[in-house]
Amino acid sequence: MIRRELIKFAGGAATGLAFTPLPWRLLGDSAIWTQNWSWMPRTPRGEVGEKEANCTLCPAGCAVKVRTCGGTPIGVWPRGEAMCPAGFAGHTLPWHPLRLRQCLNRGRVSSLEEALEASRAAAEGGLAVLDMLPGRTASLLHRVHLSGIANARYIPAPQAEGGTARAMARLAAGSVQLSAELGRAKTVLSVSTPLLDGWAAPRRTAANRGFTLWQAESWRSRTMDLADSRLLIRPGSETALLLGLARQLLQTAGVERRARLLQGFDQLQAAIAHAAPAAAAERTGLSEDRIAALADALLRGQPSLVIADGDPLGGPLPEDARLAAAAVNVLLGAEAFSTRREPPVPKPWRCIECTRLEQVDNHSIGLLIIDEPAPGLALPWAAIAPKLKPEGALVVALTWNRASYARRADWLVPVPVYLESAADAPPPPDTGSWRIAVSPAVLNPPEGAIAAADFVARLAGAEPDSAARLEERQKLAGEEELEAAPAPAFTRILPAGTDGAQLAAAAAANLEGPPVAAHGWRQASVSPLLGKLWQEWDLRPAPGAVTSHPETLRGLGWHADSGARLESEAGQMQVLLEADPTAPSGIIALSAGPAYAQICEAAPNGAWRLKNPKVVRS
Amino acid sequence: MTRRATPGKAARYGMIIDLDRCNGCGACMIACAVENNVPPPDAKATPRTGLNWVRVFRVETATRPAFVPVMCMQCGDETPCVSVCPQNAVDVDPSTGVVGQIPERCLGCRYCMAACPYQARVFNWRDPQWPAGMEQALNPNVSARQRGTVEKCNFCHGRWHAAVEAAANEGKTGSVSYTPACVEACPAQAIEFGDLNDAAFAAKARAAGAFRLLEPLGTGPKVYYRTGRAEVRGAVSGLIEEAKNGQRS
Repeated sequence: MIRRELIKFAGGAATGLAFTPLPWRLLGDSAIWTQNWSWMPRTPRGEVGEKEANCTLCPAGCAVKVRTCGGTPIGVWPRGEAMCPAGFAGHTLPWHPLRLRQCLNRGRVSSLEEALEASRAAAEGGLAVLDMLPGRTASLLHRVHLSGIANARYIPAPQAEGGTARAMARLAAGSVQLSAELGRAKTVLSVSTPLLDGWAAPRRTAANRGFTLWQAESWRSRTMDLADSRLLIRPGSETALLLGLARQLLQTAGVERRARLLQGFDQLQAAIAHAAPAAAAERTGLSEDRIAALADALLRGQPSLVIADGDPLGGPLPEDARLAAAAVNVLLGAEAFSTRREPPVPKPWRCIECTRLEQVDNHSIGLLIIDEPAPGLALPWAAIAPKLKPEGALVVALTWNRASYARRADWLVPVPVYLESAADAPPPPDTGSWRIAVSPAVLNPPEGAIAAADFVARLAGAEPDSAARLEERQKLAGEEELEAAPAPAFTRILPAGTDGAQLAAAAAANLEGPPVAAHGWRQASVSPLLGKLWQEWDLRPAPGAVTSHPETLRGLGWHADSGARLESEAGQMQVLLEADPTAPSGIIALSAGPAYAQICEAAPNGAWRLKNPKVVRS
Repeated sequence: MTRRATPGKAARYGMIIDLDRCNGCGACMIACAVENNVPPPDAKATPRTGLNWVRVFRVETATRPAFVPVMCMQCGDETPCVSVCPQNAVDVDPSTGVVGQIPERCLGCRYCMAACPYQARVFNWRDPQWPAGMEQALNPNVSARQRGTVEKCNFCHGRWHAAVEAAANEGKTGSVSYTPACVEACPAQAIEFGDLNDAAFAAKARAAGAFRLLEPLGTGPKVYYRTGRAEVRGAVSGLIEEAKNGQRS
């Protein structure tokens, strides 16, 4: 072979190589190789299994399947029913960036024993447990353990006690607990309540909604979008709307005849005397005809139901709105209300009574234990702070995260979260049937975490045994026989002691501050994955977003897409101003989140309000 | 590259989405992200730079808004993304009719994104990241995709694989029945999934009130929408026009 032939062969081979699969193979292989960079997350390996559970992130307690890989949950899926978006991301809660994994004493890493020791010393000054999610087995165990401690109180979070249903229970004969059953209603009026967005279980509001919904609200909420009829009212005019509605209903002969037989009719008449159609229309911003049409629809579409609970994060409605809603329900016959049956309590358990927050004397708590078991629970700090002793009071937050009470509590003690321990969901607000919806423990909680009930048990000198107690209660619930729940009989139309004139005055009162409509999605902080709902596709307002009509923003001197700080006397929060041409003019819709509660004050009528708020450019 | 399906044995999976039932809760988006290991959004993510295989558009109408879930339409006849890919990274599976995206082959040129008339493809602008520890909760059947690749809905290929394996273990071959994550997740039962070769399912897809997005383009999408509201149909057409014109990403 001569040199020329060798070069020709080499050149030909090189040229021919380009037409073989080799370069493509090299390209493909190098692409596959780059898929395996060391920093690329590796998917887990192990045996794939499935466990039956219930989602305990909210009272809906949806039945779920938990898929596991090597014992670690890799997904949560509905078990024949529906779930909300938060449920699908719930299994990632243990790895939430804000997850608390160690005891912190004012930011310093500490131990559980130290927290207990400090708590024991402070408990001598009066102990109280504030339960942010009452109705669970853990809530009962707090009451059992506190019965062994002198001068101890158990306080359920006020907004979790129920709004309209509790007001209705005050009107029924005998001492009963009631629930508003959406399944029994044909027409529902929801007043500033996120009825289709977390208030009730998705299985009752999504696929087979059997009722016609009228939504009265001051901003375009998700429920408002999905409602059959929308009533855009001015913020703070809920009581005026309900009293105007009551007046319309009383113009129907049958309704008035029935109402006259009930106690409290005179007070209601005194209240609605000021709610003339024109006055109610002026106050709410609706036309008189619209209010009359609403009354007509509620009367024709019986059984009808009126719910005025407010938004869990935007704040409860004032007491007068709840009373007015209860009165309207009674006028409508209250057929969709049923006796609420609580899951049974084992007989040997001795529980102390519940104390409502407003019944607690100021400066009477030496040790406050806040049980915050799930994301999205909020209560204004301004409502809690006056109850603490001015000197030496200790606040211990038994919490899953490093955010909500981090600035307020002296001690942050980590608790197991969903799927890290066996836990149950409280009874849902929209059904009278009882059940215990339990999630089993799938993961190990972080070292140093302690179940809230066990923390209180150790404080009381008892053995921590919350898991065994839950099993005991679950077993008892399985054995308990159902009795037919008697239909509630309503003997009153307004609770005893209600002043009709004051009710009318509340409905006519002028609003303080700017027309802020606060709202929030309780499950927003379950997982960073939920950011997709607003951040990437704007399907919901992000927490901290202030949405308003462009002209409203301009009128206030604010600029869209700019960062700002919302300041009140109780604190401040970062917000992002956003313009929305479809938003109602003149309203500032604030996507609140738990941070909002911390800058609100709890008014004497139960509502939350911003005191002297202002927006500062940041 | 499009291969010919084996006659008589192949499936032609498709979806029917009832717009009158969709309540825009976003459960499909989150369930899809969990199933397909789509990472949480970056702090600065936007609809353009974020990753979503399913997006839910809110469409304003005269009466009340409608919500329109949009994912890859799994075009059947003239698949634009397949014909433009220089890497053969996009492929129509002859046994399912599903347009597959092969991240190992993708070099990130984004021709397919430009070609897709539905804006249904997303680009990985960064390596996938989960908060520390959360990678333990990833779906083991779907690998994470690296930065610089395009991804899209594939009707939950991992689930299809699992169904095929389960069927094979039982000695069955051919079309299998399975449920994508978004279908299983939808609380309003607005999404139906099935084989368009099945006469009953195909009849539902052709029923009155059913339509496909950008039908005149002749791409033969296998995702059908259904609504009894004429105004929603009109608004949805406008929505796609807006997306094409860049007014909406």
